[in-house]
Formats: sequence, structure tokens, C-alpha cells
Amino acid sequence: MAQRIQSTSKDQTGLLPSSSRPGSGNFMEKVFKFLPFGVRLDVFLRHLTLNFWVGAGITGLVLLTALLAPILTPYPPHEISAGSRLQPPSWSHPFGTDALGRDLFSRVIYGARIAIGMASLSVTISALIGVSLGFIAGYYGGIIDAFLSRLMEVRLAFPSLLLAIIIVSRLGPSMKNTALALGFIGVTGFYRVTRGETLSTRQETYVEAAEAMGAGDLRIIFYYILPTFSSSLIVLATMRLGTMVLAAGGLSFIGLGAQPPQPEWGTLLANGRDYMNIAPWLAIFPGVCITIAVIGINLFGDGLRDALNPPR
Amino acid sequence: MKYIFRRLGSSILVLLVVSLIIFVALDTVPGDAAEALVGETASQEQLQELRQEMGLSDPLGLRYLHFMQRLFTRGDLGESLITGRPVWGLLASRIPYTVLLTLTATLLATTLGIMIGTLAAVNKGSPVDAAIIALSTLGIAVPTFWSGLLFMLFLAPRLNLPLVGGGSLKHMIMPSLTLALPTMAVVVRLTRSSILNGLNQPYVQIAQAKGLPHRKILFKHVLRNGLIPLINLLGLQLGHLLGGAFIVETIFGWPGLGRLTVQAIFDRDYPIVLGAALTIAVLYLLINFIVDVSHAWLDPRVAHKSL
Repeated sequence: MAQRIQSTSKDQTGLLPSSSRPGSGNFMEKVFKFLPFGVRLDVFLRHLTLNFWVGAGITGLVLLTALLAPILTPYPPHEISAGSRLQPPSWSHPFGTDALGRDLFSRVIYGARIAIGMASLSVTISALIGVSLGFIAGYYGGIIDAFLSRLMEVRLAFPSLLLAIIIVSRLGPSMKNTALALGFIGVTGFYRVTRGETLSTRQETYVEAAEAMGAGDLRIIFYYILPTFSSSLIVLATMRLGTMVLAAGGLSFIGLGAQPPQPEWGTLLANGRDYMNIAPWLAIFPGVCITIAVIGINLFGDGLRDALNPPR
Repeated sequence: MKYIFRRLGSSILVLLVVSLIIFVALDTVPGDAAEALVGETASQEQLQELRQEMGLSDPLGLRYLHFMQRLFTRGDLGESLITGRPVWGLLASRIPYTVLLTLTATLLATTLGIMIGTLAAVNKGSPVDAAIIALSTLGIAVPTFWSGLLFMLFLAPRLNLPLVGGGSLKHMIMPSLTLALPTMAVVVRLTRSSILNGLNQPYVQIAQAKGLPHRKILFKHVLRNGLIPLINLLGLQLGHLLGGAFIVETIFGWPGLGRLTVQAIFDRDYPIVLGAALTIAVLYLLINFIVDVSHAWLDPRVAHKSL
């Protein structure tokens, strides 16, 4: 069976269902020729653009900053120093200091940790819920599908950021609750992709063949359906990451996200707004960091999309 | 016509479900209105009595029905827990500000966005095009809560604009510009790609073969068809704009719904939050209704397909 399917999938698009892979070729060939989601490595590499590398570089840098924050920071982020209040940028304080004498550079670097943490937590929540519900709706269909799809429509009848604000107001503002609220509003995107793809892949002959051979639902879903569109999911998740960094920053800015003294970028900017006239650097550097991080993540996502789903 | 009624019917149905969900979400808040009213000194009996009186001990479904009944028969959304003023009056004084801000931003984003996007498409591959693409990438990534601050720092002193507050035309400039930027960047990208796509269509080649002047082809054939995806995008973007308005209003102290709601959330003044949430839901559904109907009007195939 596997042999027959293998012979049908010698296309040059680079997008093969993974069902064509099991058992074919030797192990090393599989490792080097295929990415884990059914994309051929050489096709993938050929479609990588300059934008992708710039984006990947920036994203990598932000991740590294987030990971290595304690090593990179010259001062502890919460250290208050009465002697150095509202200092302009200098060699000892590259981004200046705030009204409590805290070093802005160190705080911004810890901010990367919070931003990446909140954004990736919320995207993970969205993906887990959205993909599971999408599978259930697309695979089993019927009343469940109708119910879930109506539910998503109702959810879309309300602007995302405002829904997040309402959820946060109900749960109480904190980093965890904000990430939870943002994760919840992101469910629809993952649901739609998963449901649509599951619905169409379910009709494929190789899925029917697997069913006929007695494969269980879970095996079909994870082994035969999921790999066909996992690249779209990865692209979607990357793109959502940038959106979530912005949304988490926005909620924190209006006071409904991370709470002071947490050095979240939006919180830092809200603080910078209060001292704008005497210490403009407080309102500039955190914004530069968010913008660069989001541009990096967006370029990375765009490049990934172009390389994983190259134009035919 | 049939399409409009069907669409209206489904909007109202969705609105009812949304209102129920919002009501349930916000009404089960710990520490209810009675507690807020009597303060901490009251005894348990007094608290129970007040709850009875206010209908707070009724089952949730009954309270929802009461709420809707009051809303529809008297247009009454309850009173603020803090000031005791009717919620509807508070909302009504703020809604025009938010609508004005959002509409101005939409207008700015679409007119400038279409112009800039067309400029990029016409000069495809030139430095102008590259610069516009780079700027639109930047525009999508810059958060409004930072661009607003930058405007306050660098634009306001030059143009002698007031930093915060609302009302006059001068107060409008910075908030609407801030709110418009991300949407403008998206409109620029969409306009550019849909014009470039349109230029490859067979009907454009025919128009060229007929010898129509380039300008006429661009504006009459390409741009007009390119507007259809733009209108769809606008429905989605207006949701972002309404959400963005909450942040922009906070930055500039613009006296709209957003500031009222955020303040009410901090005060735990839930009747106001509930009323504001319902108002936003109505506004958003109305916008999407208008977008869908105008889409069907521009492209009659839509109405036929969904009937």
C-alpha cells in the first residue's frame, strides 16, 4: 500500500502528505531530504529570501536576549538607586534611568523575556484549543461541526482586542490572565485552518485506505491528516506571535496586562508617557525594541510562508 | 432586498447570543453590586435583604431576562455603581467621540492608503516602490501606543497641537493619525497587490488593445475592481480600529467609550463595562452589516451565492 502511494507523489511542489513517507527510503535520506512537516529541504532552502534571513536573525536575537537576560543586564531590573534618578542615556546607563533610578536598558532586556513569554504562551493556548476543536469539527462533522462553527461566528462578532479586555476585566489584570485572554481570542484562526484542511484531507484516497486498514481516529488525525498542513500551522503560529506581542503590550500599556513594577514593554511606555517632557528616553527605547522585535517576527513569518508554500 | 433581510436577521440573532454571553461573563463577578453599595460594615442579613431587593439572588437566566426587558421597554441599562448615574446617559455622551475618532481614522487610512498603494503599484520595482513597501512593513509593526507617544514628543511641539483632551479639530489630528497608521499600512499593501494583480487580467489587456489611455485603464478598470477586496478588509479592520481606539483614547485622554470602559474596569463598575461591551457589539455588527450589504451591491454574485 505504502509503495503505491509513494509512486503517486513524485511532484515537485515539495508539499507531500507524510503518509507517503513511512517506510520509504533509508533513514538518513529521510532526515536530510525532508523537514518534519513533509516539505523538501532543498525546495525550502531555495525559496528563502533575504527578508527571511533578516527576520530570522532578529527573532533569534530577541529569543537569545530573552533567554540570557540575567547575563546581559548590567544592573538587576528592579534595583532602585536614589542617586541616579532620570539620568539621560550615558555609557553606564545606555538607555538612561527612570524616576526610581532603575536602569532602563536592563529593564528593556527583561522586557523581552516577558513579551516573548506572554506571546508564546497565548499562541500555544490558541493553537492547542483551536487545532483540537478544528479536528473534532472537521473530522466528525454533523451537529458538533455546526455547533462549533456557529460558536466561532459568535466569537468573531466581537472585536478581538475588546473581547480580551472584557475577559481580563473579569479575571483581573495579570500577566497570566492576559496571556490566557489573548490565547482565547486567537482560537478562531487555528480552528478555521484545521477544520478546513481536515475536511478536505478526509476525502483523500489514502485516508480512506488507512481507514480501511483499520487505523483508529487518532492515528488518522495525527499521522495522515495533521502532517499535510502542519506547515500552514507553523506559519500561522509565527504570524500570531508578532500580533500577540503587540496586543500584550497594548493591554499592559492601558494597565490591563503585566502590572508595574514588571518591566513589560507596554508598561514601560505607559511609565514613559508620564515623564515624557523631562525624560523622553523613557518613551523612546522600549518602543524601539517592540517595533524591531515585531518587524523581525513578521519578516520571519512572511519568509517562512513563502518558503513552505512556494508559489507554484 | 431578500439578502438584506436575511443578513439583518442573522445579525440580530448573533447579537442576542453575544449579549447573553457578555451578561453571563460580567454578571457573575465576585463581590456584587450589593456589597459595593452597603460597604464592609453591613451585616449578612442586611446584605441578603439588599440582594433580594435588587434582584441579585434570582437565578442568572431570570436576571438576564429582567435586564433585557428593562433594556427594551425603557432603554435602561442600569446605573453606575460609583456615581449612581444611568449607564445609558454616560455611554451616550461618549459614543459620538469614539465613532468620530474611528471614522476619521478609517477615512484617513483608506484615502491615503489607496493613494500610496497605487503610487507603489504604478512604480513597481522602483526605489519609490521599495520605500513604500519598507514603510508599510514598519507601519504594521509599530504599536499605536508608541507611535502616539512619538507624535506627542515630536509632532505636537512643531505644530503647536494640544497633547491631551478632546473636542476641537486640533485635538483630533494626533489621535486619528495614530489610530490610522496600522490600517493604512495594510491598505497600502492590499491596494498595491490588487492593482498589480488586476493589471494582468484579460480585460485590461483588451482595454490596452483598444488603445484606452493608461490612466483611464488604471482608474476605471483596475482600481474599481480592486476596491472589492478592500471593502471586505475594511470590515475586519474596523474591528481592529475599535479595539485600537481603546488604546489611543487612553494615550491622548480622548473622552470616548474606551476611556470610560477602562476606567470602569479599574473601578469595578460592571454595569458600565456591560453597557459598553453591548454598545461595541452593536456598533461592530452594524459595521459588518453595512460592509456585507455594500459588498453585495458592488458584486451581486455574493448575494446570489449566499441565497
